[in-house]
Amino acid sequence: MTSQEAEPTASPEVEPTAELSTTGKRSRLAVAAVIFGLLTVGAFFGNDDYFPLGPFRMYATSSQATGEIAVVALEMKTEGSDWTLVRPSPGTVGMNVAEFEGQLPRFEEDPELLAAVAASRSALHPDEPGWTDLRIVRQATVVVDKVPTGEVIETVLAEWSAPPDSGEAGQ
Amino acid sequence: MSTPTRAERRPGAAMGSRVAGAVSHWWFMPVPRARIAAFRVLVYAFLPLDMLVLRPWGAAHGYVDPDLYRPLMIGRLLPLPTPTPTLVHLVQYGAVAISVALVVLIAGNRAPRVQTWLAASIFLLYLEWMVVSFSYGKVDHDRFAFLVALAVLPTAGRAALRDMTPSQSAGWALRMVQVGVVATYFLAAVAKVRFGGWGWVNSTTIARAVIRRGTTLADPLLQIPWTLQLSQWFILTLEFVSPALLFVRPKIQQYAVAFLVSFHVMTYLMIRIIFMPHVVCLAAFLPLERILNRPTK
Repeated sequence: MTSQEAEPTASPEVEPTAELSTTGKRSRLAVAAVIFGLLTVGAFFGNDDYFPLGPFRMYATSSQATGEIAVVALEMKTEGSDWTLVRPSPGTVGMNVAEFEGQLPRFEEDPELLAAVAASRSALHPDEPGWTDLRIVRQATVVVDKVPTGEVIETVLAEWSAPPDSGEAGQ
Repeated sequence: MSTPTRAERRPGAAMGSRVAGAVSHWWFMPVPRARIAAFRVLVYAFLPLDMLVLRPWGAAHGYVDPDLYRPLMIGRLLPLPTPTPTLVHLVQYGAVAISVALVVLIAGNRAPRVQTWLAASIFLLYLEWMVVSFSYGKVDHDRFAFLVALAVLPTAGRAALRDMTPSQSAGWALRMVQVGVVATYFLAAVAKVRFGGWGWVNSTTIARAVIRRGTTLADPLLQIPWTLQLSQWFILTLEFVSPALLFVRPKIQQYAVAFLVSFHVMTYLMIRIIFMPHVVCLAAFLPLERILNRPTK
């Protein structure tokens, strides 16, 4: 019954099935087993580095009913200006909020890495004044029993200033 | 012929070959070539929209300082070059141009061999685009099924939009996309339990999403926390039962797809997140050939 070699039904309207060879089937089954096998292993034991075979961890973490819900933002200065808020995005610095959050431990460990952000800004907007100072701030919304209170706490996580002799940020 | 006698000698063999037969039957269930052709048009017409409008951010990465490039494992193994403006735009516009050419060739049913090569090159370019996009601190999880689709579509052979010949290679390709879609749901539930614990259903994950990116439709729900909590129970249940989608009758699959699409649209209206490449792949469950061909009775 399950033989793939069976003659197609001799019905005038139904066209005969285009069948795969045994090799064609075996190789396709092997591909399916490898891809979905590795994907399953990645889902249970892997991390984002395994992409595209890592775990699907969108919105997978649990947040507490009472505590803070934080988002990171940038604040920058150009020559002679005050601190100005900048939302990280592909248009502003080439990277979005989630990407900054993903690399946050690097920035906290080595605030000089913010020079690379200022350089990216200059590469994206060569006609605008370079950034002389840059810092990453954490904006935490206070939540009590799952309801936000409206209170927002700001913390500076990493700060960088262009060396005075360079005159401007970036290269 | 000789099968019954062999089965008598080894009782397990008959059962084993029946299972193998069922597995093979399921993976290679023939579908009309017109269905894979229509699915190809959908995927390759969507790709420019994805790369130019919905997720063009990989292009900005070409301008980001190399110190911020953190290549994924696949990017380190191959090893792929550090993105530059030239590289990202070559990949982006290259894939878009080839996709447009491919849609034209499929619609005109021309040059099937060229179609295969173009489709294969799109897969490679898009994979590189993914590495460029996801090597700066954040990986998105909305396009596994889409990547599977780009990988398997070149293997389905020639197919015209009006060719109703049933094909096993087309059946396998669409089955791969279907399994990719279901794996995304099911393994997303696994990830929630793995990273968030079973307490995920009662946590404030969705409330957090609403605070970060909620719309006027969702914001009032913050004051009624049980609604968001209920939606978390709903999501986890839906994801865990999703494999049923692979085994129900086609009619039920079509209703389920309509339901899932409305779920994704609703999510978009609430927190402005929609997994578009994944939604496109839901079409792998639909009898797309009927758009251009009347069903024969």
